Amino acid sequence: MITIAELAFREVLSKKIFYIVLVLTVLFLVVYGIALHFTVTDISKWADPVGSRLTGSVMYSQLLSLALYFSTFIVALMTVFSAVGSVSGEIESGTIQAVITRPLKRWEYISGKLAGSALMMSVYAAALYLAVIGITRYITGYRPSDILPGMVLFLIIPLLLLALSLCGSSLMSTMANGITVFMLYIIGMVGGMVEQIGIGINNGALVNIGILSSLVMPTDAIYRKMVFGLLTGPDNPINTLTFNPFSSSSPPSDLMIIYTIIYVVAVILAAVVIFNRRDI
Amino acid sequence: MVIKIDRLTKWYGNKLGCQDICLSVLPGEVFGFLGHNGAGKSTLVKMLVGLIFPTSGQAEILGRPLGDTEVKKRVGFLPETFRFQDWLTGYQLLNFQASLYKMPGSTRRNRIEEVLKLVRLSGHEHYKIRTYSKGMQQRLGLAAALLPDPDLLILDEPTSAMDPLGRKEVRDIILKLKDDGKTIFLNSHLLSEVEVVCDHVALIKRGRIIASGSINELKEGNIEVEMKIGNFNKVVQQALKDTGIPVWWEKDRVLATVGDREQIPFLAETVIRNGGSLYQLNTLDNSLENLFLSLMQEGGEQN
Ligand SMILES: Nc1ncnc2c1ncn2[C@@H]1O[C@H](COP(=O)(O)OP(=O)(O)OP(=O)(O)O)[C@@H](O)[C@H]1O
Ligand SMILES: [Mg+2]
Repeated sequence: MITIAELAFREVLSKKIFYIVLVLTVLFLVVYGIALHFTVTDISKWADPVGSRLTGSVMYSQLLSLALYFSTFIVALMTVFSAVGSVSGEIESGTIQAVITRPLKRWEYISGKLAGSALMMSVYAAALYLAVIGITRYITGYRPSDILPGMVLFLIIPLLLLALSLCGSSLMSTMANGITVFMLYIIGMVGGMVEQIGIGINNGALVNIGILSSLVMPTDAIYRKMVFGLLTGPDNPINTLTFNPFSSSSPPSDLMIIYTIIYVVAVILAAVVIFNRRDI
Repeated sequence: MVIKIDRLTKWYGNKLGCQDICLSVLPGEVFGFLGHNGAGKSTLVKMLVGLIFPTSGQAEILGRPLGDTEVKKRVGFLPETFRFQDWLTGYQLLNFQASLYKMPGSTRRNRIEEVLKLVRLSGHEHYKIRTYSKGMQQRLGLAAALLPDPDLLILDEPTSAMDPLGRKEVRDIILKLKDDGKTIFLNSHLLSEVEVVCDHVALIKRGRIIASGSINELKEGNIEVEMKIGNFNKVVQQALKDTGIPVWWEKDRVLATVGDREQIPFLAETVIRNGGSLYQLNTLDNSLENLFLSLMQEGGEQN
């Protein structure tokens, strides 16, 4: 299992695209930093210090939620792209034949793939998350609460998508799997937006659609929970009063986290069961 | 018994892979499994190594049922589609394979060098597999299969990408392993390849075994008759088929495998009585090639 995980890890490092992604990620962070910088200079020009502090913390929290929203999106995209073919790609190319015919159980193969990619994605996601928070704090001095719990939630998102992609990868072709997982992710995203709007205009039907979609794909719910924890702590009471589609005014309950963990475990088990029986 | 196969059957949906295969392979034997494209050779081998699951039937490898992980340590397998993680170097791949085989680090290095030398890839091991030619990749696959010094080596068309010299080298490797008492299961559609190395062969056609035995058994008692027939029309062809003697033809050249000398005049009579002009009839040296061809053409229909 460790052998497979190590190889999966090394495979990513051997790809050019990995380095391209790193460069682009840095570019994203730079753009965000510049945006923050100009916001800060703009706001500090105001004469009224109380007003500028108030507006400042609203603006910064909005910008931060925007950055986190797109960071989540980037991480999700990366996870799906890197994991959809992890098993099916090997089946399609035939490289798997000289691997699982060796003294290795099929579940070891799947968990090795999972462990390798999970480690890689977690490191990447954690770095991105800390960079976004760090840049915000350095440039604006804005300090969100619950940074560590937020990071754990932030990491659950790629893990969930990884498990789902891997499961699909042991069942479908790379292409079909990629489309399926990505569509599911979009459903979760749209559902989350719809729910926020529903809460904003007090429409029960919209809220229910959101809840339903978050059961199908909990990524957005986890994201909402994360931003709520970060931006709506005791230090930032203002944010509850403003509407922001990238943020959250009523977070999902802790039950949602438990549901998501069960979801992930179930998906991984399904991947193992499916892969155990399939012909290659 | 190294391999014991009992009525192994594989259906891909409603498409037959192979049906009711019964075989046994003894220790130290080189077993040839022969058949045309799509006959079901790879299907059988894939079941043996656990890539696909049988629809019905059982098999044992080295005394254990299929899928036993411990046994896999003693089995080397070269897949028909020899594709590897081509971003690794040859050496890295073998090192990875060695850890899959759970080989201890101390013996690894030497063993890797040994197999590299055996398949004549020494000197190329630090290049990326991406830069290897097809034949070199197949050699590397063979090296990987040989890595754990397996008691049973399963090779699916091991020389499909190799040049004539490579084929001979593989043949020599097989013979050397046989001398060391290893058992080899060889899939091939090349009779010439099988004939020189195998003790036993089985012929498979459309998923079923149509003949099996030692090379000598198969040759024995069979006389190859070659005829040149003028006016070789449908009537003559049908009459020849109706005799029940395996026949095979190419234009006016007809080959028949008779089990008994007395059938030779009978063959001639059949040709002449049905209007064929028999220009030439000679018995050939018993070549497995012709037996193979005639069995392949006729054997399937009889089943
Ligand atoms: N995955 C599959 N799905 C459906 N049918 C298959 C599949 N794999 C093989 N078959 C069918 O099973 C039969 C046997 O195929 P197999 O690959 O075992 O042939 P083979 O003897 O190895 O041929 P070759 O010499 O071309 O390698 C063929 O008719 C093939 O079409
Ligand atoms: Mg084949």
